[in-house]
Amino acid sequence: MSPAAGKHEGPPITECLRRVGSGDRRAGKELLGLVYEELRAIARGRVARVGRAQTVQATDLVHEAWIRLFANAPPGFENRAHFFGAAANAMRNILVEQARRKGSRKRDVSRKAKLSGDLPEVLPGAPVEDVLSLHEALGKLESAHERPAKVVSLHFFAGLSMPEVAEVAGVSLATAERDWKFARSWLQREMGEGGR
Amino acid sequence: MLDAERERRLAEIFRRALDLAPGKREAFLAAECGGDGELRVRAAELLAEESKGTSGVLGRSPLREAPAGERRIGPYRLLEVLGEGGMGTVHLAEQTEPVSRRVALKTIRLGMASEEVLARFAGERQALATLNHPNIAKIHDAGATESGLPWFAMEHCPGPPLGAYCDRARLPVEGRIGLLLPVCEAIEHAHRRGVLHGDLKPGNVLVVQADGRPVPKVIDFGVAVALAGRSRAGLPLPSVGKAVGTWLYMSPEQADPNGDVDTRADVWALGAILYELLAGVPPFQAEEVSAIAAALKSQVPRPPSGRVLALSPPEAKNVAEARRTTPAALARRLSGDLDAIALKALERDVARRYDSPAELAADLRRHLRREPVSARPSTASYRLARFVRRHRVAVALSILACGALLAGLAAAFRGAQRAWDGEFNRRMAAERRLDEGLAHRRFVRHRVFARGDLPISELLAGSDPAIALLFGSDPGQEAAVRFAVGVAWLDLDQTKEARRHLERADWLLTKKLGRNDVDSLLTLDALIRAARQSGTAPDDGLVRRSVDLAVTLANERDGDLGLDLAALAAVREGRAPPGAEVTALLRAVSEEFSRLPRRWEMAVCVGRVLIETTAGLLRQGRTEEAEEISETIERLAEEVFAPSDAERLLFFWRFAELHAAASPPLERRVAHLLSKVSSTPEEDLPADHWLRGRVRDLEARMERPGAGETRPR
Repeated sequence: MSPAAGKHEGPPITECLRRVGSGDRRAGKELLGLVYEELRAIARGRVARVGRAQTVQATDLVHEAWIRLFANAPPGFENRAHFFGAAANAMRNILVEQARRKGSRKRDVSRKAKLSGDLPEVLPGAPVEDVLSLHEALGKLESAHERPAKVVSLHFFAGLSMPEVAEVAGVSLATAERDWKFARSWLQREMGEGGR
Repeated sequence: MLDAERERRLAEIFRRALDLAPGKREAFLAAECGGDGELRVRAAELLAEESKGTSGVLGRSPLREAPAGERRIGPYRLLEVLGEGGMGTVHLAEQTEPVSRRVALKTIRLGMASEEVLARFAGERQALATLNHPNIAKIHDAGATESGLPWFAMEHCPGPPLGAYCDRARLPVEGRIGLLLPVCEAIEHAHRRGVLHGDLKPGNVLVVQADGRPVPKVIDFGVAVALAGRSRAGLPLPSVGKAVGTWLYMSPEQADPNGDVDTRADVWALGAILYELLAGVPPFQAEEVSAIAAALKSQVPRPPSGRVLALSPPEAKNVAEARRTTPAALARRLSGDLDAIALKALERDVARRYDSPAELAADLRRHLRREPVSARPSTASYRLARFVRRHRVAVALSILACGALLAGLAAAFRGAQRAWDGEFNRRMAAERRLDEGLAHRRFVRHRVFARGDLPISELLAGSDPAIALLFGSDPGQEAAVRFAVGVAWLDLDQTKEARRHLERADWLLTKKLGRNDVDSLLTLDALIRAARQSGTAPDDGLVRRSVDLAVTLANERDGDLGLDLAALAAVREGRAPPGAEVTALLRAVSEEFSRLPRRWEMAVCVGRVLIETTAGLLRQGRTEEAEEISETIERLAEEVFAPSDAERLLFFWRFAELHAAASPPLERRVAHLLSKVSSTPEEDLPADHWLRGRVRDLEARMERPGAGETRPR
């Protein structure tokens, strides 16, 4: 178990979720922080255990974060929704962070050592530019089409199946699927243009 | 990007265009976008992109699971998904090394892992590892994924669920029971190893073929609980969110968050599976969880035989055909033993349920061997009927040897059997309101009651030595026979003979056996009836004993009912506590009675107290209250008795007598109650029956008051 394991058990996450539930924006950020820290702690522990060459299935990361954070918290529907929202954002940050690091490694060999061994590769094979351009395009989509962007985030970054996305986003399956198609076309179009 | 308003329009147009055939989209865009060329181009571009599907980075989600064929867990390659439960997914998986085999691999679903789920999962793995039975899917292997999520591989059971298998194979009733027996044994095995299954249902029993024979296998010990150390701690509380399927086979104590759950919860589930195998539908059926939960709280399942007859005709036909029979024949096949066995397994009161799966299995085996089953009340006539069925030839011989009782009862039984076929269905429909376990006995009794032509009195007259010979060594049996013979004498209006047997039965039950149960109460009731029928007032000590016992028995079942009946009993003796209003008490009693299961027993208790309260009020001259109570009793009686039931007819007559004895008599009530008897068709009550004579006498007495009496007209 990593040192972070005991840190967020019980009250902090419960309290945080309660505040998120009552619409507290700061609590939303705190939740993201908690989940993010947890994901990173797990990833670091994994690297320490199995060595750096190992690529990690991100599904497992999110999953394990869920177990750790919710070991003692009531796993109600609201909590699931908040958790996966936060987990999607956290995963996105981690991927972007990793992609930037890779990109910077190409240009700048003298990067700080601290950043280097933090994370195993979570998205094997994805070109750095793609991750960054998706991040950027998704940012634009969010400002124009909030719900479809959320569907993408949950599906892509939190690894939820479409029925689960629909449940967590609180929409019907048909709506979630239409949102996904729209957002996907919109993003691919956007990234295609950006690449030109 | 467009401006915000046009982006909104874009999304809307895109969505609506998606629902159109590709050929129609262009015209749609043209119409929708009007002069906005930019919007139109943008929409067309998005739709074109959509038709290409996912590409680039979006197609490589770091989190979307790899297709099943490429995923591995431990030494297993995942093939298709076999099933998804509330917490786990079961994959068909393939192992190549060290041996090549297919297994069912169970994992926890994404986001479902919580301490509770992990504990349950570990519990299931532990439970399966403890068990070793040919009818329980074995566990092969277990481990954890890299992120620490547990999994285990168990025996893959490629076969349909039990119910589906039976229907597909069109197994008759015997074959179905034959397949349930090993399931009972498997669960008994689990219980002996300290494991409670907790979620038995037809879907959790799969039928595989082994050497050309069907072998049921119990799977999914997902909510299994180790019994040592904790009782219900590990059992999932049912929540409204759970699928209906979870509830259909759940015992009442398990459905009750405060219920005490032990291995007998599995007995209930086995009973529910048996019920469905027999009747084609589960004991309680509803679209909504709340309805099933409510039924579990207060209702007793209808006997399977009655349930078959209550199905819609096409449904009943389907169910019967899957059992290679007709609805009527199926109902007949189920009535009696199988009804009793199913309902005993489905007793709400765990103390009255089978103690273990083995006991249930034993009774099912007894039934298949045509021996008496423990689920049915052990009355002499029933034992005799079983005996006759098993040993027709031997009985024929022993008739010569054993004397009048056996011969006469066998004859009565055969007569009843013949009449049975033509009449049973009609009777069944009428009897449905009552506990149908009694239907059989009542039916035979009614034949005796309604047909004075049976040489029954000769038979009864010579029965004393036979009773001593057959049952003398067993006071419980002797009391049961004495009660039956006594009531038969009452039905024949021979109160003196009746009293002799009933008093002996009462003595055996209370003095010799120290029993204070519903049998004792029925005996007291019959003794009181004997007194009233002979025109004398029953001994007050006897009445008080019966009322006290009725209150005690009701109290054991339901504290509120007991209290209210006790208050009414006090009213009867004119020492009612202040504030004990008859109207309020009656309303409470009716309400409590109507939500109680096993109503016939409680009907005896409630009826006993109410009748004597009516008598008491009439004695005290509280006519109005007496009338009110009388009407309540009438309503309850109509609810409990079938229209042509001998007991119903006798009851209304006796009740009318009670009203007639008041001074002044409650004429209106008497006439009303008597009309219920006189309007009975002749096939149920022959024109020359003694009861009709009694009714006519009483009617005449009401019209021509006795010489000494003067009543305002």
